[in-house]
Amino acid sequence: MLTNRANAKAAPELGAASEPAATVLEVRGITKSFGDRVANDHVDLTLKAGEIRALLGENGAGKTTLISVLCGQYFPDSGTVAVRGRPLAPGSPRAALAAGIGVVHQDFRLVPRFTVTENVVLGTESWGGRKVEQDVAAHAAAAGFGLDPRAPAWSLSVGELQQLAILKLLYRGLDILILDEPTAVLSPPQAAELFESMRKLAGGGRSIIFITHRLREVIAMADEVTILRHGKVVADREVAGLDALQMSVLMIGSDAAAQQGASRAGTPGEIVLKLESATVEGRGVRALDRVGLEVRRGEIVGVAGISGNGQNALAEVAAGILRPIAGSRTCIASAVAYIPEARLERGLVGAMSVSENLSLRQYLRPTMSHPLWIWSHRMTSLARRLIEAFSIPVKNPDSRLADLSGGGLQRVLLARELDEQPDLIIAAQPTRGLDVASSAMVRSQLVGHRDRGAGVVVISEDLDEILELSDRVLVLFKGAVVGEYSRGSFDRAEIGLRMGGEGPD
Amino acid sequence: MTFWLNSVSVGIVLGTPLAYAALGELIAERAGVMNLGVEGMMLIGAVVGFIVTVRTQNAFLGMAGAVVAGAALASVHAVMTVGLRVNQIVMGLTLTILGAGLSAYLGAGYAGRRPGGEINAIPIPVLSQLPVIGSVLFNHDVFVYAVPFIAIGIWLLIYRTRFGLWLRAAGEQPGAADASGVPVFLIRYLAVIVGGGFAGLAGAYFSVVYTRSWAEGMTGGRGWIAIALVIFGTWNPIVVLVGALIFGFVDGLNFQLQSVGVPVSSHLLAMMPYVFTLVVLIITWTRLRRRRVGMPEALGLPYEREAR
Repeated sequence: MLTNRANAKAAPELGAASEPAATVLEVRGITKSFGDRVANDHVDLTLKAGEIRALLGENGAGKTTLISVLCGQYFPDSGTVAVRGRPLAPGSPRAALAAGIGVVHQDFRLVPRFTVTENVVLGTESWGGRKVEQDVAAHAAAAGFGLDPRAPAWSLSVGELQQLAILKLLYRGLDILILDEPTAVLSPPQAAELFESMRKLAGGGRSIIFITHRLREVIAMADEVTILRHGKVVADREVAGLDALQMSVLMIGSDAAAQQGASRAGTPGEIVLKLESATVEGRGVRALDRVGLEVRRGEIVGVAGISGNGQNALAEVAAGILRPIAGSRTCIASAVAYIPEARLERGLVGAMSVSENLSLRQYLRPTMSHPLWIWSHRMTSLARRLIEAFSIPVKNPDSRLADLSGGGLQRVLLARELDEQPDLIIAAQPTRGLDVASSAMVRSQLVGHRDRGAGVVVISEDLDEILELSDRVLVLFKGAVVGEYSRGSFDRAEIGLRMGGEGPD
Repeated sequence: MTFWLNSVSVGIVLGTPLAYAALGELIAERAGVMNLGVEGMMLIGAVVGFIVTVRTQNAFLGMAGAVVAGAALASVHAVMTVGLRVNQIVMGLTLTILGAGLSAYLGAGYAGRRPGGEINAIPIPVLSQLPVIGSVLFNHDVFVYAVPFIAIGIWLLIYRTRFGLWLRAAGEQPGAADASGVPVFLIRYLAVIVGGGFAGLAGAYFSVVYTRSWAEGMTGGRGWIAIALVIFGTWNPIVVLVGALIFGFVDGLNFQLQSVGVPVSSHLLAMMPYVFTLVVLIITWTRLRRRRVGMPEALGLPYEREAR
């Protein structure tokens, strides 16, 4: 049975980190494969008491796999983990917790229907009750979190959910804390608050590993950095003396990063899409609140904001899929391309072949089909042309779509949607989870179609991407547009504040 | 007046096995495992309970045997759905068919026999002498008396113990529970097997206590009603118990109406509980869809630790 370590021994206090250089975690030669893909290839990592270590790498570099091994969720193919010199039993979440390793997963792993207290004590000796609620409230207050111990988790904001996930680890007295992309869901001010808490925890003797792909955060927060590329450790050193460019070269493997920069401006023409005070209700709240949006030919309009602030509703209204309950949509585009955020769920059919997916927009044309049948060789030749043009990583057009990686899927989607030379393109989170090459391809396609004269809407959580691509930027918060900026007057800090619902007014 | 009092009394007796079966299913579903094999487990319980009673001449041993038999059949479901992650719906249906066939085979020589051992009503002193309600409420067997305490006990177990917290977590978010150190697989195994024990007991109540005979397919679809009752009761044991008693009443009304000679076809009367089930399910489901109360979020979903 797991004991509540917080009660068993006093939590380390500020300044109590007596042995500054004690190694608490030692990872040696961890290898983990999925099928023939090696996600972790002989990964080594050490963590000292009171240290903040960044685990840096692109999407798919193996960061999440590594921490899944550390917390016992994955059973490694080979390699060992030792905590304070003692070997850790592999593949057991209970053993990892007992050794003091706690993870704040990206999705937080909380039970929405449980109260704050129930979530905190889940897995310990306790089940809740009045006394435990007070205890949880005390722990929350000590950590500087304003959480109501009786509030159900579903009623909390994203920032509060993250605090709850951290509180859960602190309550158990865990002292090796691993945070998986903790800032991905936070606005810049919320992230600053989180960093403050992290510093306090490390000052109290706890050791922290945080995962990120944002160089800025590594420089601001970490003492040491481990950089993963294609599942291998390519750097393991202190952060002091490294700059962002050096890190990105290590992370990406070339100086491709240096070539990223603001793209050229577009030349706006006539309006292709106009939304006037479009309003959408969803689940009892306003998913979209009187949003106005104008998109002209030859411009990219970027929509910045943290996920869950109405992006889905805006994308679907703009694409003409969802009808707003109030307000209007005027669109003069003859063809609209829609790249949805949920590629496999809303954009593609996983059980069908690549070539069938590629012809979904065109199969009804007389060149492709007759009312009673489809010319399958024409479908195949269309597929071959698009596979070539968009470098889709398949040899056979008839292979199953679902077997493609994230980058491959997005290439199929782009190829299908953009082949008709649409006048309006709605792209939601178009580079999320993609490798660098695919991301670059997506961005250059969007810019290319804008230059051809299409109006483009890019909805993204990645502020750097928005600022790089857009001619105009809107900020979405709680379903409403809370800021609008034109190229040349982009203010990164102010946009960041507005994404979190704050900012000068 | 006597007619209605009799109906209530019969309703309590008929509602009791429904309550046991539904409470068992509730425990399994709270852990996230749907077991549609309740009917099969009830039939196995009914036949094994009857056989053990005939052989030992002790009805309580028979009931115990039924619990073991129901749990044994449920453990097949547990191994298949929790361990091997077979689709829970398909496996549950298989279990029903298996239970029906196996019980017919085992009970072949027992149709028409008397059980030998009996479980009799125990009038509660003083209370059973009360006018009107005395004979209706306080002149039953021990399994009837126990059922409200068991329902309250399960409620306390679910909401006021560590095991209950772990059970709910396994049914709501098995991934979160696992990451917190909760033994999700163990909990799910236990819940399904204990639930099967309840279903076995419910089946034997029909053969050993109520009709005191064995007949093929004698539970007559009541296992399915028990599953519907869990939904009707929004996964709350107290509401499930109340629902079971209401259904028992409707079920009993059928016999009562036939015995007083209502000029309606007995086939139509026998449909009443099922029509009632349908109506109640429609009402509950529309309510559920609006508020999403009660239903465990991971119900029906197999859990795999390394799933990506």
